[in-house]
Amino acid sequence: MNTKENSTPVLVVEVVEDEMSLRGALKEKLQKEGFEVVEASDGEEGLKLAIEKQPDCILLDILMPKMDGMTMLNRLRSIKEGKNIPVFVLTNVNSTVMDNRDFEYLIKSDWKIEDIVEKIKAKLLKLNEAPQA
Amino acid sequence: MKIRTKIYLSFLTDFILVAALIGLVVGLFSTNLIEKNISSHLQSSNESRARHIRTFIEDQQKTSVILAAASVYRDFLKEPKNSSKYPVIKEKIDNRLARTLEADPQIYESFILNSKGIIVASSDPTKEGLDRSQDAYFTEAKNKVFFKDVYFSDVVNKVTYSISSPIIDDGGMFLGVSVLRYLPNTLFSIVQEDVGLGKTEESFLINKDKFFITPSKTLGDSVILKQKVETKNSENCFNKEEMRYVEKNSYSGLVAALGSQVTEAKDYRGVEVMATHSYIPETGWCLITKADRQDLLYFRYPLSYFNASILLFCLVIFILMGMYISRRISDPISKLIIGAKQIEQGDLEYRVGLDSDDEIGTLSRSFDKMVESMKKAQSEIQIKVEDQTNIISQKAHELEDQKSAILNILEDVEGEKNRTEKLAEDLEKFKLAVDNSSDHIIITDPEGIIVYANKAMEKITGYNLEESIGKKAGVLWKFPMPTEYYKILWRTIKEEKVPFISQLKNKRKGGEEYDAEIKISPILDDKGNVVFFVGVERDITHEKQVDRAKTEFVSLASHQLRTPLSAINWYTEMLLDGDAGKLNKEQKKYTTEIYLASQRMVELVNSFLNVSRMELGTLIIEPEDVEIDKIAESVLGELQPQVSEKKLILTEAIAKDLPKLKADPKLVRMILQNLLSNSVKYTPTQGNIDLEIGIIKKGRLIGGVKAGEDSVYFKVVDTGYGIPVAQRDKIFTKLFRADNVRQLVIEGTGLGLYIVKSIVEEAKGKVWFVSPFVEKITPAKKPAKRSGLPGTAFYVLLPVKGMASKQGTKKLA
Repeated sequence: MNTKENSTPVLVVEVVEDEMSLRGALKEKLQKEGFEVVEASDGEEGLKLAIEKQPDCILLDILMPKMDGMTMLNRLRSIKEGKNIPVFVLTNVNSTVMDNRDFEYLIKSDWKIEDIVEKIKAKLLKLNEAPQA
Repeated sequence: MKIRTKIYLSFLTDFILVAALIGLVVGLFSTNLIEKNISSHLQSSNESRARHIRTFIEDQQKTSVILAAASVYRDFLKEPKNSSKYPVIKEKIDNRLARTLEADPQIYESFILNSKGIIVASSDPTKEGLDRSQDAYFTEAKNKVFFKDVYFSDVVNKVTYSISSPIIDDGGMFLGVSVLRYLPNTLFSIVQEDVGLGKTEESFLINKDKFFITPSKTLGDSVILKQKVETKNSENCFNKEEMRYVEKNSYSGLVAALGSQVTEAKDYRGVEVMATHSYIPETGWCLITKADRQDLLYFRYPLSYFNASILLFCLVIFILMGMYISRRISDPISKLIIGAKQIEQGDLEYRVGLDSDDEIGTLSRSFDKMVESMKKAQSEIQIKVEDQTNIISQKAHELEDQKSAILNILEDVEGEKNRTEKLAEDLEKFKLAVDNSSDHIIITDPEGIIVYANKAMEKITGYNLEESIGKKAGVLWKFPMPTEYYKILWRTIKEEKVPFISQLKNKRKGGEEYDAEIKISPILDDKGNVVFFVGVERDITHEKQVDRAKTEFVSLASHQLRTPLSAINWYTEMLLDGDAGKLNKEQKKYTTEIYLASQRMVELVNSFLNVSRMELGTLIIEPEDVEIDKIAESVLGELQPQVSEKKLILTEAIAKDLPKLKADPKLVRMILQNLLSNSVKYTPTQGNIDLEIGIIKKGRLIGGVKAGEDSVYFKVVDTGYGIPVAQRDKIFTKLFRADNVRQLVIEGTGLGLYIVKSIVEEAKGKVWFVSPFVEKITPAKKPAKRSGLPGTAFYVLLPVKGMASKQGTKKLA
């Protein structure tokens, strides 16, 4: 977990999304909610960034150029650094392989951006609270 | 003559013969027996009487001897008359003589004679001094006891006899004689004693001169010593030899030696008698006992009467028995005769029905059986005759028909020729059609050996006809499929004998893979045996490609359409949240409109996607234990904002004992969501909505429909706008929206009920509605505001056994 100069730890969210408008919306909203946001526009970039930044959670699109979301997720889970990062698959594609212990699955068009943020918060809070408890 | 009479007469004849024989034998035998019996009776009576007389006389002789031996007699006779002792002794003697009379009343005189025959002492003193020296009782009694036979005493004027004994002193000197004179009364009574041989039985004594010495029963006392008895008996009795024999032996000895002494002869009266006799040597008498023959044989008659009455009685019994038996025998026979007559007259229903277990019973049963057989035979014959008649008339018809048929045939032959030619043409066409079909068609025998293949086969598989026909289809085209697949294939067509339909990847001769749809059908004969298989294979590579393209399009479309919508949604949300600064009233209003429009767009896209998936068959069904009540609660929760906004009264009645349904929760949810959101959407403010979920048993009615099996039902009732009558049959069709609501409510894709129906049918369930439906809305909290709208009730049935799993590629949105 990254820590900044102030005592409160800032949570880092990596957004992997090729659609700029959506990425922008998510970035703005998350930043407003006090998260640090790192961005990637395809799977390749996203994987590199995840290993490098070790984000507290990843929002991952599926259909992307260069490397799709599922491939990136599989690569990530196959290396030590990426095994435990919580992943929210944020997509507009329905698929049979969804809903997995490895990630949570959200349909972008069905979810309010606010609710997505709430979901991330809840998840991370739970994770952070666990060791403190 | 009737049998009865015959039997009866034979009985009678038999009886008379037997009775006569018995009567004869018994009669002869009994007469003989009776005569014997009477003889012996007569004889024994005579004998015993004779014995009695003899002992009686002997006793009297003994008395005489004892008396004469008394010393006082001797002393008296020795004492001279003049002696002084004489009077004393005389007195003693007188006393003694008197006592003698007292001792025996039969003795009427007792006296003593001196050696000179002078009565010296007597019980009758008047007789003393009389000279009886010439009398036999003195002369004969000088040296032995003497019995003087019966005689008539002039002196006493009586019939009498006497016994005298000599008085002899010890020196042997004759002193005198003691005489006892007897009355014959006792003797008479001994002789006359009745022995029960009838009233003519009579015994009497005769002396050696054959004179009666006892009275005659018929002639009385007067005969005594006056009438002589000259009969066979009297003669025999005094036969010298017999007398000697009796003297030496006894009379019974004589009887034993000579047999019965009973004779049948005339008696002194000249009457026929049976008589016997005994000689009594002591006195020289003869005792004759006799009875009238007539009288004796009289005994036989009662016996004969008795016999006769028994015979008569037996005769009556025999007659009755004869009548009874002859009737018993002849009655069943009469019945048989009646039966025979009845049957002779043609009444085959008649039964004699005798049930006895004798020969006649057997005969009767056999007779009845015979009649039964006759009846059966008769009816069989009748049936046969009818059958034959039918056959004959049928044959006649057939002949008639054949005649006309032959004529017809002659006419038809020409037409038939034309038709055959036509058929041949048709078959040719048919073959051409099959040959040139775009689908690859083969026919194999039950073992899978190809017997026919069309041109499309060559084109699709790359094998030509020459290399295919006669080969095993399975060997020629080895589908690159797992073994299990072949097992199912063969089981389906060979054992279950139903068509096997499948899509698979196949390989052409050149090795190129292609998608194929195959359909193999067994062709069965009448008995259900496989005659051959018809295989139709179609190259569906192109179709598959289209299908994949469609799926990809849906996938792409969902992504492509949703992505911009997501962007619009999120940014408007952020605007509305004031993330870009507070919006004024108008800005907020416009932004809200954009947001709602975008939301509807999302909904529309989602619905489209679902429809596409269902139509493409890519919808997945993943059954699991579904708690319907929880899904319902969740759906209702989601709808709560709209319900509150429209002030709708929502009532729920969810059964507590709902089973865990094997179903896909997302699909169940989809059903409830669509139905309830429709109700919410199409019910005006303050209306009512009822949700009812429960179990319904097979065969029960619900909403006018009978449940085909045990099911879970959903019932959603509202007081909304209802469904126009004219459009009821279209309500479940895709993209259809009823006219009445299209004007009232803007939102609506026309896909909701289509999706519901698709899902329910996928689950082998049912969905239908009833509209108008106003009568059964149940306001739970507030009374419904009577809107006057028709209202609708939707019903869904989902089988309790649940949904079948289905593999696909896409879930619902």
